Amino acid sequence: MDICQITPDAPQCTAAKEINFGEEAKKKVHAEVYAVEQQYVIKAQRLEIMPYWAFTLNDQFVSHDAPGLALNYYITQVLAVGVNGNWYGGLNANSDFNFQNRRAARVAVPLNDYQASGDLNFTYVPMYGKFAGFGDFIFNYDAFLEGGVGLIRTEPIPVIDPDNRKFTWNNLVNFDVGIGVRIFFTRWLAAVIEVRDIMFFDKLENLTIASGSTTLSINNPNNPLNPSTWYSDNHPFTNDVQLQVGVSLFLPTSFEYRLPK
Amino acid sequence: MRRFVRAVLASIAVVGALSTASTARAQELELTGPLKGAPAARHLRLYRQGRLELAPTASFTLLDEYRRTILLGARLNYNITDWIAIGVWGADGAITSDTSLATEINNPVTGAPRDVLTAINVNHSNGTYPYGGYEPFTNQTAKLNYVIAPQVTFIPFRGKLAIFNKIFVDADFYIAAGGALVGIQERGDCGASGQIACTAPNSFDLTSKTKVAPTGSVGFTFYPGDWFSIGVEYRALPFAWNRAGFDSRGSGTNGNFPDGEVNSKDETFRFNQMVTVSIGFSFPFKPKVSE
Repeated sequence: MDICQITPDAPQCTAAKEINFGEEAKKKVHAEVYAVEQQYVIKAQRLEIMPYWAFTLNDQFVSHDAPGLALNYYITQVLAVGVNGNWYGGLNANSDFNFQNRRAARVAVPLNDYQASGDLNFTYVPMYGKFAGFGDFIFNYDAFLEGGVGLIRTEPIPVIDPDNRKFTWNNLVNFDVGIGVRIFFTRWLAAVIEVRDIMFFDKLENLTIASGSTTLSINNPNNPLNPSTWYSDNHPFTNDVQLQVGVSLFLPTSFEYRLPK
Repeated sequence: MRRFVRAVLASIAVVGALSTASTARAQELELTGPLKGAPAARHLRLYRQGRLELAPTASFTLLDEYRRTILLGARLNYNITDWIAIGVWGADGAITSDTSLATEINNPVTGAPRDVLTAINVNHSNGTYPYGGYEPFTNQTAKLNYVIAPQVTFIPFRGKLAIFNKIFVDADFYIAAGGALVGIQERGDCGASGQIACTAPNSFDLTSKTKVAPTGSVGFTFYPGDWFSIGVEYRALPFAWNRAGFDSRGSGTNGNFPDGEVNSKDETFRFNQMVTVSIGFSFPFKPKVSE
């Protein structure tokens, strides 16, 4: 029995009076169905608090490990604006290799300590996915790119003329870029691993010592005590590449999907 | 995901229970409903299981003091299952370049003075070389010639990656460990009784040695197609060697002072890190698919 004989006012029955199914069937259709899965974590309009530890990756002379903290606010699901800061003070480690090289070859490498750095960053999250661990549990992750600008404070370690040179901290503009992966344990807690390059033009100790006496006027360019003779004229482009390992906490801790599953 | 969180929490609970040395009673968790006993994923493409992978590799050494090396080679892996493989990685230190420190030591003006103070450590033979006529410092710095590393690869994680919501690739994460035969060239022994004096120009010649070292790596493999993959990995190859050819140890307190000889006491331990990129080809070309 035709259903429209029983309930003639059913939507499909009323529509059938207005639509010619024969004509509709002749139309070309794109036979594609997109199954869109909900993303595991909604980041939009949430604050990310990310404490981490930064390990030096590329400086064989002095390592600049540091604790750090990043705060990012996600404007959209894929774009965030934030700040981060590192504290290197007391954690710079001068490698024994520097001493060995100076003693053996009589060649000194100018060395610098870092004190702190801070940057204003934009973060973009173009990648996400999920992994199955041991063929059993599934966990979600995303990968992000970040870039920004800020300041870093560096100070030469006097190795060429330590008797006369007493350096102070210099504020240097830096640019930073990074790429990282966040592995989510819950919808608000994740582990983060990131490689970040902090780039700046560093101020290094002068390899040559003013040849005059220290009894000359302090402004005399031949006086080794004259601070204007302490720095090299070259400001080499420096990359401080760090491996940052930390955790990421999203606030608020819960959220609602716009559409139900 | 919940099972993972539960596993982590359960591990913490076990550690906590053991640390208090009190009697603990495990709680049995039981999943009910239609998903009971179901695998975490169905119809997985088993990119590894039962397949042989041949992957040409290029490895770039990191944090080098005097000489950078690019090792060109290949990895051959047989994947017994989707989560464990056995194989070998071999590479040749085909391309090397000086670090800026090595270049600076060669600098005829600001570099290492070629005099009695450095005579044991920097070759001061005066010939027709550049760098003020002296033999380049590069010629005495150690070389990483080849690596042969049989290894076992463990693949705990596999999954997929979406890029710009447009490109989707399968990927896995692996950890490899094994031993390595490492062929190096470093400055030969000198200065001891019966050996050439360390100030002699030809005492700076490099001699070949073989080191046995553990090696380990972690990496990601991405599978854009059924039969080829792209990989990136970090590897450590720790062993001791004398990278500069200096006499820096052997006498004094704890042997921390030069002793006028160059020998194994002057070798210092180094982690020898590198990053490897690879393109893998898998045979047979078609992967199996899980239930």
